[in-house]
Amino acid sequence: MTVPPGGRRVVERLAASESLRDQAVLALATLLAPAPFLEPELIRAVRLRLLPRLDVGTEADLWFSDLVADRGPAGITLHWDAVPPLLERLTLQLAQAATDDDIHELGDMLQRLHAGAPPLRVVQEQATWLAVSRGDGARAEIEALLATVTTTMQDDTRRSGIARWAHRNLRWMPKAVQSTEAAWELGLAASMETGEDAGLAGDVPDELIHHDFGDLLSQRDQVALPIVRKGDRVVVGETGDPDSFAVRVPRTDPRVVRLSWPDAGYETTVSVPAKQAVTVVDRPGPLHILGLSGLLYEIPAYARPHAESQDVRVFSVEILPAESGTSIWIEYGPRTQVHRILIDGGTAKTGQYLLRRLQRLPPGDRRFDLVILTHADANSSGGLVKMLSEMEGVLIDDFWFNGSRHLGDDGKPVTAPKNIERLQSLLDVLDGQNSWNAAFDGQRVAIREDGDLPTIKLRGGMTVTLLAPEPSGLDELRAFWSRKRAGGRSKAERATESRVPEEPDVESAPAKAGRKAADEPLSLTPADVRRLAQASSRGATSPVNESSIAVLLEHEGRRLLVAGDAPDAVLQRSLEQELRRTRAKAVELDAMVVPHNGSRTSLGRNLLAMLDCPRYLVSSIGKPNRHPHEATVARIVEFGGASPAIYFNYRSAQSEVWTNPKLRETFRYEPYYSVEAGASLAVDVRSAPARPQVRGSGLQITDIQVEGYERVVRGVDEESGLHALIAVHDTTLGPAFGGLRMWNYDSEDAALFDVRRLARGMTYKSAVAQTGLGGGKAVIIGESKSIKSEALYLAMGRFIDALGGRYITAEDVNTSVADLEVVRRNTKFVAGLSRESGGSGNPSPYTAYGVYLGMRAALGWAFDNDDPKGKTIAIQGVGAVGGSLAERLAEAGATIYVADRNQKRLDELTEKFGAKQVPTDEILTMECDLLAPCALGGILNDETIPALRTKVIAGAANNLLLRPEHGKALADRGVLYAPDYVINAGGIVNVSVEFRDGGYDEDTALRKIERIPQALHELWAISQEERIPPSDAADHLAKRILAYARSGS
Amino acid sequence: MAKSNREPPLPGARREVSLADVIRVFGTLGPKVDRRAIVECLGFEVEAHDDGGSRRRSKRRGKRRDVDEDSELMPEKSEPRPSDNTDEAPDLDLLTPIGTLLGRSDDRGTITPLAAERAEHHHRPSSHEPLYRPNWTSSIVLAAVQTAAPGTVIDVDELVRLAANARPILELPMLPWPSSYRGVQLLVDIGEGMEPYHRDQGELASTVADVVGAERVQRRNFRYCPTRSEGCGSGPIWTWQPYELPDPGQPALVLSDFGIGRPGAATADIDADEWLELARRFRRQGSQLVAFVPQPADRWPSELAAAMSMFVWDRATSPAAIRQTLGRIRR
Repeated sequence: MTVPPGGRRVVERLAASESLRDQAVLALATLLAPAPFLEPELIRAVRLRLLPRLDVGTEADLWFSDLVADRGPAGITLHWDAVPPLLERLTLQLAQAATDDDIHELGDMLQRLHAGAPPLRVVQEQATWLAVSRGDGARAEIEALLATVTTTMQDDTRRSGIARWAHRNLRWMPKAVQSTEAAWELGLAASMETGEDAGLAGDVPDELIHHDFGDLLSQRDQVALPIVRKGDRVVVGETGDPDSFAVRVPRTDPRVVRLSWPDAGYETTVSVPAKQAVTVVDRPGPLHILGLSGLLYEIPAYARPHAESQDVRVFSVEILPAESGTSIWIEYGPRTQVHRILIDGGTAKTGQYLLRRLQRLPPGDRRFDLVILTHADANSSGGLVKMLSEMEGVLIDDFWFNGSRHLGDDGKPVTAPKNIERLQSLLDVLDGQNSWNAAFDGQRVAIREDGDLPTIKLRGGMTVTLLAPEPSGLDELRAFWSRKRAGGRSKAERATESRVPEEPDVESAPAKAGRKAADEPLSLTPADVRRLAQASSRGATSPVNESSIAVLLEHEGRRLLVAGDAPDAVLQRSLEQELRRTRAKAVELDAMVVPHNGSRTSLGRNLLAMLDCPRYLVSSIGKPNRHPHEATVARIVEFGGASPAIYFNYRSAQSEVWTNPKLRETFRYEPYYSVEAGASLAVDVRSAPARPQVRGSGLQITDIQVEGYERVVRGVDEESGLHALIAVHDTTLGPAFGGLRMWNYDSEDAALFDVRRLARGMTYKSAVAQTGLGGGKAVIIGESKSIKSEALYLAMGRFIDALGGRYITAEDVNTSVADLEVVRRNTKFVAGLSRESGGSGNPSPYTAYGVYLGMRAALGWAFDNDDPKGKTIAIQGVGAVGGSLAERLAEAGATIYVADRNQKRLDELTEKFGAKQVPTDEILTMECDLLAPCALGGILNDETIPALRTKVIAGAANNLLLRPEHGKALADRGVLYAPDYVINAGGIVNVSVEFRDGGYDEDTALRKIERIPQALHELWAISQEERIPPSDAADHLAKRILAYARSGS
Repeated sequence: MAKSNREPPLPGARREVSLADVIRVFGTLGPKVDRRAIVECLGFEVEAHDDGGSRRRSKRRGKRRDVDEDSELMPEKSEPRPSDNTDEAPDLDLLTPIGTLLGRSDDRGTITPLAAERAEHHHRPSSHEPLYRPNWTSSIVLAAVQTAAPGTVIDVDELVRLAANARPILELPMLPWPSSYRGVQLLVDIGEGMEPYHRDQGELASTVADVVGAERVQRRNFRYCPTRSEGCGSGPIWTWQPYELPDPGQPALVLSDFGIGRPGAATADIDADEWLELARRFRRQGSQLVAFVPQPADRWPSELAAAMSMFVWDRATSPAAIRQTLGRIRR
């Protein structure tokens, strides 16, 4: 499509012209701009009704003006690129017009005149009108209007016509139209039809990805979109990289995908123009890619070969979902080159999860250093059989399993169960490669009853100590299988088995009493738990379990015990041997997988007494065996250490009971669960145990891994209801300082997003203000009116104190100095308290002083004279800071205009300083020399910036720019902007002085605040030199300061 | 489900051929090779496509397989043709979807599609606001086309004057009475400059017919000036004839902008002298020449404004103003 050039320039020329004729044409064209086709009748009606002062010649002037692209007897059309600037003018006019101004009738007039016009034209006109008259407030109606078009487009016979219309018109419609999901839907569908780009401005709406495009996209052409994780970036759309993956997406232009990092809790929508590439910052963990057709892809975490530093090392254990079985995936070594151990494969049914986990590995990296099938149960072997038979390209350096041939030779033939026979035939291939029990020279994997425990060193620095089986266990299994082949078990064996039944039928009396049905959650009291914990765990085990392999894995000082189904007695004997060797009182572990899915006979008191283990991992779905048995978990909570953490990979009737606050309070343990059914449960063995770090309280602190942040921690205290996050972004310049905010976030993810954003902002703010502090932030999740309590703030104090001064808190939204006084009782890392408490007191006057100095600097920069005398200054919000500013500026001789909802406050200022009052909805657009927003954030946006009539913006409010790009919009309009976090840093500067040697001193604070103009000058200079908006320059300056500090220069 | 021809892969066996490999081979060999044979050699089974076998597709198990055809995730039409990207980079490692997210369908089913565009959608808007105030238009037209006609009331003053001067009274002097009895020649400029006002011209012509009587209206369409060689007329341009003045005393009403409205037209196409000459001819035979001009007066060429009676064709013009102007001229 060719677009007649210069329409925008014509508008600019007309706007700049002093000719009344030109002004008249512009006025008429402005009101007519929503209509895609202008008939003489429409032009006449608009002129006579809305612009009655214009004469008849204006109609011809418009008709024959350069604004017109096409004209004919029936009407004219304006140049496409003249329409956006005209609509911008109309938007502004509408915003400024009085509510009873006739201009508001324009929409009705258009609708009336064009009642019988072509339907698409009517939609376009109405949507445009809604956008210019109500902006984003009309989004729902615009969506509904455009939805009629998308619905129509489903009709194949009309598709191409609508596509052409959408392609031609959408791009010229207002942003409030272009930014709708329906507009993108249409634009993308049109791009598939026309082969041209959708041409829509702005970002793809996040929700677009969740649309059901139906026939519009999903059944049409698809292309392979390359995606590669490259260093710390994800590059989408770049061809030619050998590490690149590709996903199929509809052939839209741009291609649209949603990238999400589940581990990082972050997602973003990316639109990639055809034949171009887009780069975004990569994050830890697997990367999910969702295309418009609804297909979800995954690029696993390891596919970031250059992203991680070589010295980042891992030792993690994942309990894969295996229902009643077990499958344990272990990774260790450098993150850039992880080694893997797989222990058991779960059932044949749940083998799919194992395969899926494998598919997340790059094809060339599907390698295990060691695979162990602990014993021959179907719920351990089924998944491995599936993996070996169905998954290609899997490399296994060594596979430990005691098959028929390893059970000894008593001259009798041995026949294993069918699944094991199948497995053995698959393993024969490995055997041919000397990879079956290779560490044991192809012989049986077993401890020597009279020697040291076998210790095998794997590549990557993993030491495996074999704890089971004993040779006798294998002999028993051989005998068992021989007898089965011979026709059954001996009478004695049957008697043994009947005497000691397996757990399925065993349920404790209290547990039975606590529920009516087996799948109902248990109900246990502390007394029940004590009784269960004391009950005997004795019982015979099957020969298969006697043959189970158990291993102690040790990597760089961290230890993980995986015991398979090995009986307690065997484990105890081996661990005693280990204790003798180490001369320790207990075997120190970082985590253990509870044997035998937590059956009643597993993990008895004696075995627990030999262990010092903070984390217990349980694999079981609950049914049909009712694992983990309540008695086993009872023993863990009672005897499993001071404050054990128990990880369940399923929420079930058996595991849910342990969420009971009463039990948790009594036995001081913490239960964890997989986020959802079918998800793995992963534990970082290297991390600090997830048990409470503050002994003697219910506060539990856990780390959240967030890339780019020094530390992010979660604090939960059931007793007080505290659920808080602290983010320490950067402490290069000093301890992280930032306020404590209380907010009713929708979710922890939302809180995490906010605390990260705020903490990073504090780093920059502190850096530019040269406070000698770093950046951090804390948020308490909850509705302040309902959750505020002394206990909550005391718990928060403990939480902050646990960071040892790395984070210093202060008041923020919904917290007061009084609240902080309570926090202060449990931590000294609180700032901004009252002078009486030794703090720096109310920061507002210092913020105001800094803003005042910054304003003068801005006036000097913009007018070559920093004297406010004679200047017109508009102040939005006259609270503590704004009011103080008004006072100072009035005294300096400025003419002050003020707006605030607090009429009393306004009257005070009028009386004292002669401040002139302006309605709140006019203050932003009034003509003035300097505008000082001192109330709300986000007020500089698409709507307000075009309407500004000031030369300078310098105010105290935070986050004035709705989005970063609005900094550029201001610069484009020639407005000098003093970035908020620089100019309003007086408060934080004042507080920072508390931390100097000798404590707070006001003179020092004032001297530091007086540096604010210098900081502003510096960043305006950067802005000019680098041709970037001052807001970006501020970020650059902060980063330079940080880099300078990091370099140690 | 399609099945692989190959034996189940062995543990430890590495992938040998991927779909990307196949695509790369095709890209290298070009379109004139037996793709089916190549695919089968590489261990894929080739099935005829459901659409009648015109297209073929290959599948294999494992990560690099194509999307499962049995799956609703990838309907038949979605079988990718070589795309922009795969054409350029045939070694792309196509991922297999790990799932699907069904989108929000909202209430699409309840949305009524737009009506198909029809010819009547392109009709002009029915509502039209005329240039003159609607309730004044007839009066304005009447004022413009009226001429002096003998009335029925004796002009007493004249009678007294004749008697006082001892002049013979051969005929009773009657007061003149404005009338449209002479009819009107309606000269309608259909040039490009009057494009925005075509509907106004049509509607005004109807009003003139209503006021004067259709039989006494002589309509002549013209471009630039009626005296041009292409002539003028009421039908198609090829039927136009050279211009003829109206009968002596019959007025003419011109609907034209005289080239003012269309930039450049006044100098290129309109010759004021033509109009001045026409105005002289009208004066010579005692006919009045009145013009309705859809342009403000300050734009009119002064010599034209002096040569004929021009009125702004817009809301501010009233019948009284026309009567006052024309009455003064007549006297």
